[in-house]
Amino acid sequence: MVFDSSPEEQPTRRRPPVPVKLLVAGGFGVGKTTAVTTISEIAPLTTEAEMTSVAAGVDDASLVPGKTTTTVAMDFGRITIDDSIKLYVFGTPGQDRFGFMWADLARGALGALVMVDGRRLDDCYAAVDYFERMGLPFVVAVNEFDGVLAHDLETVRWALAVDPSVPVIAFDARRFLSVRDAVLLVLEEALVRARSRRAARQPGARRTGGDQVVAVAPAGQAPVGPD
Amino acid sequence: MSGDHHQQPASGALIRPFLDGERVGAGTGKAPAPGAANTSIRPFLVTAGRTASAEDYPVETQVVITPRGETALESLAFEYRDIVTLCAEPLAVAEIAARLSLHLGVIRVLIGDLQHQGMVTTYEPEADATEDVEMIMRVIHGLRQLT
Repeated sequence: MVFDSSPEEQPTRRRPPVPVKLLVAGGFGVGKTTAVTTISEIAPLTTEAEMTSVAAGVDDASLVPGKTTTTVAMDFGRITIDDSIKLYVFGTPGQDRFGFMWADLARGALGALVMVDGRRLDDCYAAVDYFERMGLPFVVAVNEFDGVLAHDLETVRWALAVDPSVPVIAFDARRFLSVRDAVLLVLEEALVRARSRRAARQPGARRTGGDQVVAVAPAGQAPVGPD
Repeated sequence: MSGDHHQQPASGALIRPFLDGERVGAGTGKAPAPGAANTSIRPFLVTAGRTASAEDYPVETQVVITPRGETALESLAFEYRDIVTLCAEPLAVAEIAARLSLHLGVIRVLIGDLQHQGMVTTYEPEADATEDVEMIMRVIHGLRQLT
C-alpha cells in the first residue's frame, strides 16, 4: 500500500482500510444504478466527474479530431469487506454512439461487470471493447427484466463475440444474492489475472515485453497457424 | 452573480464597486468575457480557477483528518472545513465529492491543498492491487459471508 502523507506531518493513529474497486458498466438504462444500490451498504452516492470521450466509430478512429471532455454523473456504492478492506463499486456512465474513456475509473480496478439489456445488446459494445483493450477482467451479465431473458446466453455470447473464457451470465440487478454472485464471478476473473501476472514475474519465468498483460485474442479473429 | 449590473445605478443608490463594470474578476486580474452572462457559480470558483491538482488521486483514495487538522479545524474556511470535518472517518475522494455535491476535479484540488497543509493524510490504493492474489482472495471470502 502506498503511504502518502505530507512529509512534516505525523500519520494518523489508525490506518484506514485499503480501498479496492470494481466497475459496473453498460448502456444507458440497463440497470447499473439498480445493481449498485442493491449491493451497496450505503445509499448510493452520485458525483460528477470528467470523462474523456472519443467518437466510437472503429472505422474512422484516425479521423477523430481530438478528445473532448464531458461532465457526467457517476453512481457508486461501498461494501465493507472487513476492518482492512473496503470494496467500491462504480457505475460507469452510459453512452450512446460515444465510447467513454474510463481511464480515471479503470485505473487500479480489479475488474468489471458489463450489464446487458437483452433487448438492446449493442448498447454494451463500447464497454466490452474498452475492457478487452485494457486487459481488464470482465463478466457479461444479462439483466433479467421481469424474470425473462430476451435471448439465451449462448446467443448473447455469439452476438458480443467475447472470448470463450469470458463468463456470460444472467442475473437480477434487484436481488442482493444475484448481484453478489455476479460480483464474485468478476473477482474470480480478477484472481485468475492476478495469478497469471504473478506467475509471469516469478524468477525464471520467461519475460514478455514490459508490463504487457496477457492479451485476450479478439473473438472472431481467425487463428493464424500452420494448416 | 448576476450580470445585469452594467447600468449606472440611479444617483444615490448603493452598489458594490466590483459589480459595476470590469472588475468582476478582481483578484484574478481577469474580467469575464464581454457579454458572457454569469448564470451560475462555476464549479471551479472555489479552487480559484485551478482545475488540476498536483496529486491526481484515484477516486477511491482514502482521506483522513490529521491531528493538525483537528487542531486547525476552526480556522479553516468553507469547503476546506467541510472536507476535514467529513474525514474524521476515512472517506474516499469520490464519497467526499458526492457528500459535498462538488465536482470530483474540484475536490481533488482542495484535498491536495489540505494535504499540503498537513490537515489530512491520504492513503492511495495499492499500486498493484490487480496483482495482489491474497487481497483479492480476502475480498472474495468477505463477500461470500454477506447474505
